[in-house]
Amino acid sequence: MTVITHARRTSRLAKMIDSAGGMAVGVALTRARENIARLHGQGLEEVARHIGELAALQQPTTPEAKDESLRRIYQSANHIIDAAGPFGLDDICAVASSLCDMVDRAAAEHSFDWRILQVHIQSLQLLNTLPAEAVRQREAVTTQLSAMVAKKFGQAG
Amino acid sequence: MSTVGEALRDTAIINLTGAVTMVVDDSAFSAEITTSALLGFGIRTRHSCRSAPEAMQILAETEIDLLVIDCEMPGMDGFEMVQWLRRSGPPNAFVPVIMTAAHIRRSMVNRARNCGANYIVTKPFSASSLLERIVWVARDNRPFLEVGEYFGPDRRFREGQAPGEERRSDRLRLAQFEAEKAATAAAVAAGNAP
Repeated sequence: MTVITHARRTSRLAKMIDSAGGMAVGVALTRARENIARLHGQGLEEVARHIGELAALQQPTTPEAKDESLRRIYQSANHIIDAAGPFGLDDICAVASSLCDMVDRAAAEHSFDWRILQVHIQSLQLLNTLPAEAVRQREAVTTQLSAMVAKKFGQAG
Repeated sequence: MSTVGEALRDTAIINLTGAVTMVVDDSAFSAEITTSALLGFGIRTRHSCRSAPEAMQILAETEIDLLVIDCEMPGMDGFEMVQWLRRSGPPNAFVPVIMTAAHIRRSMVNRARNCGANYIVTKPFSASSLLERIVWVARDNRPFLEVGEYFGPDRRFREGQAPGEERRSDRLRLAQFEAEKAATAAAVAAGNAP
């Protein structure tokens, strides 16, 4: 196979980054973290909104509707990770990621168990209402979900 | 070049103030998170787009210094857009590209590898990991390769030994050449040269 190599080049960004001026990395990181922290409230609202959208989904009756539902589930789960991730809501991210895996698997296997979606949504709703201090209860939610997923796909496999 | 994952020193000075940056993400909130982090680094995002076609219109005419784009978007996704970008010619075909992904479908792993981005960051990302990647892609001076449908930075960017058995053809050829050279030199030294 023909390989065309374009010579190494220095990007404008590379020249810029070492030019005079700028700021210390420590200062840049502190400012970035402060900027992100200001969006905390908005992030929680986004998470709640997307969980609400998932909960409102109806089980589809046609193959076309099923494909569209799976696309929307995947998109909402992605947006939950986007919104929850920066604020340390790791357990919510993990459940949303598990949901993405389920949809991905469904696309490959042409089947989707809607009960799994319901369990994920209930887990997300529960995690979203439990206080951050309820560490044990939060752990129990994710552990039970993981066990259920493992059992389900253990049987299927 | 700093290695991937290498922490930046807090006292190191960086200047990203003039970087013309584009963020492409279908989620307005996710784009806001990214632009807020970039602002902390001194980067005022010039273009924040909600879709690939919107971004492509700008990229066809305006030179940028950094593109941060989400993989998963309705319609044309991030992978497809980066592939287009690499083949788009001046002014932006070689621009540093960081892709962000909340989740990568198994079926998309090859597309992620083959789209031509400099780096893919999985979410949730922290401010420090994003800055590390920006510094890394800024200093990423790998040559660009056109191989079949691929157009992007040379993907063989790991230095040093392969984790298992060496399978890289260029390294195998080099090792064979070195072995033959050493054998010839040994033969000459022993007076057995042909």
